[in-house]
Amino acid sequence: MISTVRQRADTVATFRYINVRLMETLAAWVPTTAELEAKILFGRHLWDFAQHTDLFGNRAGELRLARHISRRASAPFVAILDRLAAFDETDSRIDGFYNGFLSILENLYIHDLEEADELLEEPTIRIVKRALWDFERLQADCRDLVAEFPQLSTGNGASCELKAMAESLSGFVDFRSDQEDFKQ
Amino acid sequence: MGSPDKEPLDPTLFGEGQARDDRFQVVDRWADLVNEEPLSPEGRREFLHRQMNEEVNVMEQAAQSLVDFPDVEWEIRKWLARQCCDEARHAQVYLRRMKQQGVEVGEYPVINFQFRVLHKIDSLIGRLAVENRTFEADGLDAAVHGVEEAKADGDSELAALMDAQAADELLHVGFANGYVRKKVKEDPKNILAMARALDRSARAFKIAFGGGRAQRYGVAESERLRAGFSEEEVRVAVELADERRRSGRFVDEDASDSSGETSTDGPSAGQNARQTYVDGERQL
Repeated sequence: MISTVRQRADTVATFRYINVRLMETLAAWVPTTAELEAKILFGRHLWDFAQHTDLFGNRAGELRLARHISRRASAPFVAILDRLAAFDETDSRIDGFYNGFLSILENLYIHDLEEADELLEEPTIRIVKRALWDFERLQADCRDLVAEFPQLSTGNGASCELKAMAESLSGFVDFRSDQEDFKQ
Repeated sequence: MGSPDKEPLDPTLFGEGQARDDRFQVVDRWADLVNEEPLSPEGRREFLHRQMNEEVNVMEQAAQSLVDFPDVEWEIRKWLARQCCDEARHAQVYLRRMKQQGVEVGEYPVINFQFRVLHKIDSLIGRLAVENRTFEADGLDAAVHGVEEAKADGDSELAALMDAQAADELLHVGFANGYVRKKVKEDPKNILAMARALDRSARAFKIAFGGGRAQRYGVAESERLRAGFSEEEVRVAVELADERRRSGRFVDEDASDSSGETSTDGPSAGQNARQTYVDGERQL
């Protein structure tokens, strides 16, 4: 599908928004998670989302937006992010983040790759592929953690809850109208 | 949690503690830690545990600043995220070393001074002045010294650990120095926020660390210069470190300006408070 630069910019800025939220969610969990090894896992991984944020932020600047500008995701998608951030038990946080939200975002990225023109949109594609590549490592780190600490693997249905919310999504980008200037 | 049979810490200076699992015994004061002779076998074991917990404190503090200051420039937020990740790696390296040496998590009590003091500072420039320009700068000195000490002991693995840690600390001090200079240039009143933060931390330090030992090592001058401290700041740091080593005290309990001391165990807020004033005057 051919999309306009304007549409691509909105999508990229929305990816940036999502990554900032993920970085902030993990940051909030670092001091408030009791289990040492889980705390450290969150602390390490928030840097990955900061890097993805940075890449998408720079790319937004290349697509006629200001650099490092975010576009808030659609309201139903923001609700998923809010629910994720609200988990307060460590096993729910782990399950919700690694098995739930990363899986949802992975699907969004894969769908974006399938839709993108591989030549016209190559700079964005490279960023998305890099993010997907990082996800494999993040999820492997998580698997290693729960293998060592099985008590952290229960999850209390957190991932299922998030995935159920995502099933009813019709889109995650709140595209600008033709008349709308960009607002952060 | 908290030190046995002691008054609770002043809640205006110390924030709530972070979450810790049941393995940990968290105390409030340095005197309630297991303070073995640093170079003894038991002291070396305890050092690994203490250092691991310090790395976790800095990680938690960097993460908390990401939460507390969502509107600051992206570049500085990115650095905070990087620092958080670096400290997490450091903690993992110490955990690995602890495991190799049979040291259990929770084997020794820990103190969460850094996070609790930093959490009460309401400006990012203040937190960076205390955490990165003071604690991390002292950590840089300690790591540089630690490399040489480990080499002398024939412990190449620990030397490599310390060397890598020093390289990371240099980045953390450096980005804070860059941010502080930029902000002071933009608005010289930012010096006041730094001074308030440094004063608070010095007072808190005096409460939590009273009775501690003096540092065993000096200022890593070339590394501090590389991290963006001015020659004048390094000169002042060297003078103060020399003065403290001569006095043999960790905290100058008679000093009215609450100047703190540096040790392998903790920070020196007062030292860098003075450095900051020097820096501020030059910027002005």
